[in-house]
Amino acid sequence: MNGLRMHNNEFERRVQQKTEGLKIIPSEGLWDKIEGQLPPEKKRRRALLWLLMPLLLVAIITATWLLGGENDKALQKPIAQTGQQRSASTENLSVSQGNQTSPKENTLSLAPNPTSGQQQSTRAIIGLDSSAKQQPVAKQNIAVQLKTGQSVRGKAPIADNANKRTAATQTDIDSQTVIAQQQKKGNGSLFASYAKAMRVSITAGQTDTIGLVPSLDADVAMAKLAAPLFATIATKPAMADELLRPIRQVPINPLTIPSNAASPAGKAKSHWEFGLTFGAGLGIRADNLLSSQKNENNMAALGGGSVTPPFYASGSKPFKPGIVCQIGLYSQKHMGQRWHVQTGLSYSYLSNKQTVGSYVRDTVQRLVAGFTYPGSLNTSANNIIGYSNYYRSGDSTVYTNRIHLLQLPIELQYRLGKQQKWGLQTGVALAYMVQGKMLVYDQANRQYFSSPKAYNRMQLSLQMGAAFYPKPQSSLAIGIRLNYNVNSFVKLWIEEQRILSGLLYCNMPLKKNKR
Amino acid sequence: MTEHTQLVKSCLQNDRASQKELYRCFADTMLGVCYRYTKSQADAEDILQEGFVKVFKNLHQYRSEGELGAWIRRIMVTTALNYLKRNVRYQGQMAFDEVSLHPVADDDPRVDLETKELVGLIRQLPAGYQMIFNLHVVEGYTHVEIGQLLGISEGTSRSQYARARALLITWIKKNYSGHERITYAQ
Repeated sequence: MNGLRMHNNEFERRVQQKTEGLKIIPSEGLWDKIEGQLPPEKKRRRALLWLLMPLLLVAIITATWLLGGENDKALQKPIAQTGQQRSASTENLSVSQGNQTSPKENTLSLAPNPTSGQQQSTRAIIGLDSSAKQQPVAKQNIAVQLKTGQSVRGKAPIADNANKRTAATQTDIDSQTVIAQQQKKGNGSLFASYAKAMRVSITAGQTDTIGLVPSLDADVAMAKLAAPLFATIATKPAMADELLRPIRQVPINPLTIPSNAASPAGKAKSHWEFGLTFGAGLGIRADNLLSSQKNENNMAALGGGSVTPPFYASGSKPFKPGIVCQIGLYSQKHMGQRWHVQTGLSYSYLSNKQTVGSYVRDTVQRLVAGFTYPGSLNTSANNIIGYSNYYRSGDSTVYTNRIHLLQLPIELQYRLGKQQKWGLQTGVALAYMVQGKMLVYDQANRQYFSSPKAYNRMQLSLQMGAAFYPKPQSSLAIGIRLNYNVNSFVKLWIEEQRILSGLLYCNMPLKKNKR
Repeated sequence: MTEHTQLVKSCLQNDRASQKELYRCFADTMLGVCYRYTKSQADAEDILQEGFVKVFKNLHQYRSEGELGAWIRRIMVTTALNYLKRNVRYQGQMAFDEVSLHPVADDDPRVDLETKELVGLIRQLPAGYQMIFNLHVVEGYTHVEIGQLLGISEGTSRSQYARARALLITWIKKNYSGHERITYAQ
């Protein structure tokens, strides 16, 4: 065996030589006993999955966010570029107008697309002739049945008066030209109204219904769509009102309007919304929620190591929940249609109750020593903790462990539902333990002590929850949140101490987000 | 890097087969270490079991530049010390008197005993003597280190060792010099 010091003295040297080679074969069942005390292989993998899940979730969210950003950039590209890159899709907008002399044929209809599934309620096939069949055409092509009854396939025509309409030539649509022309004719508000409604429709994810892919610039798309329709109805205000009435009735969710709606050429803008968050709940010791290891005192080689502390003896339930509360400031930002990111600074108080024995005032200083190299003496100050007063093992006293934290959470929220009044959230929080008063078990002396030197000041916790948002456009929220600290509150060479807390919380915005 | 580096890596991944292999490699040697500190093989196996659990749970702290066997051995030794401290059967023999320095006997007999016989004699020493004798002679700890390990002074360690040594030499002389065999009575 290497690593042994050799003696100069003959007696010691010979005894060492004789005895160090002693080998004894253990009894057969010994490995089974050891294996029984080791963490199961399978559960360890499960624990890893638990740890990876939030990371995976964060990665997915980040990827979604980044890809969303790419799409936003694509929206700024001219239609000539993006149009060529689009995949083939079908445009179901059919604008038809029959014989204008027949009042019946001039009836306007807003029929739901029978093939659009879930989004039927807000999708519309706009037609001036209810009897006209919906006519799917190639992307960017709008089939316009004009007064003459001729059907034009291809790029939609621009027609700023009845004469040009009848010509129905294939002309590239210049949205700016259309807008300018209509504004010049005093129809700007009408066009804008229609465009806004359509923009909402496009932004709300119904672009496939009207044959546009999300990368298409919304404003240009609007112009393309609106041009033939507008050209048809421009000279008939009554018809226009009739046409726009159902569109105006489409509920507009402010959250679905892109932030650059007011300035098509501008970049998306989102503002931080600030508010106050507070909550309260309960916390309980859950030392090994993420691993399968039996909790035990880790005072390792010098302290006796793997002996299970009395509070983990089977049937023993010495821990009871304690109060948890939190107050702080948050800042929230809208990141996409449904995604929000929230950060802030908060103060948290965690507690749990523990049953111990009687309190002993003692003047004798005891040392709890750890190791960095098991078996070796480690007398560095970082690895030795001294204490005098202590609690005995037992069940005569209820002690409240208290932890005060300053937290810096980063949280991602995903809003659910059409109204986006519900949301899920997940994130991490970096925390600093401002003050702690927790009992730690000294296995060697079989008693509990409290010492700031035994605590880990820096903490990382995982959090997840769900919330109700009464006003979807606001960060006002009422929800529940689970919080679990990943690293132990107590230094690992002594013991693992973790707390699982559940909070009922409320977010109250202080300043309304200007979007 | 040692020959066991790969084995350690696998053990760190909680691979049961590798852990068993590690146990198989060192179990008999380590049981020999534990055996020297106890009065029975059952106690030695208890220490071995506790020690190996500790080894696997603290394997991440093992630095590969060191000898794995030496690292495990040190864990076994400290596990044995703690086992003896908390075991009632040994506590009566663990009282270390705070005494002044004790001169070491000049006797330096030839030790021609077989390993088994010699270990048998060492195990007949009172637990306190046995522990200090093993720590100093076999493990190579200095008296300062032994004092820190056991919470006693260096002088006490030296004194206890001197007594243990003298007692052992007496037994060796008596048992293996034609005299009648002595069995130590507690």
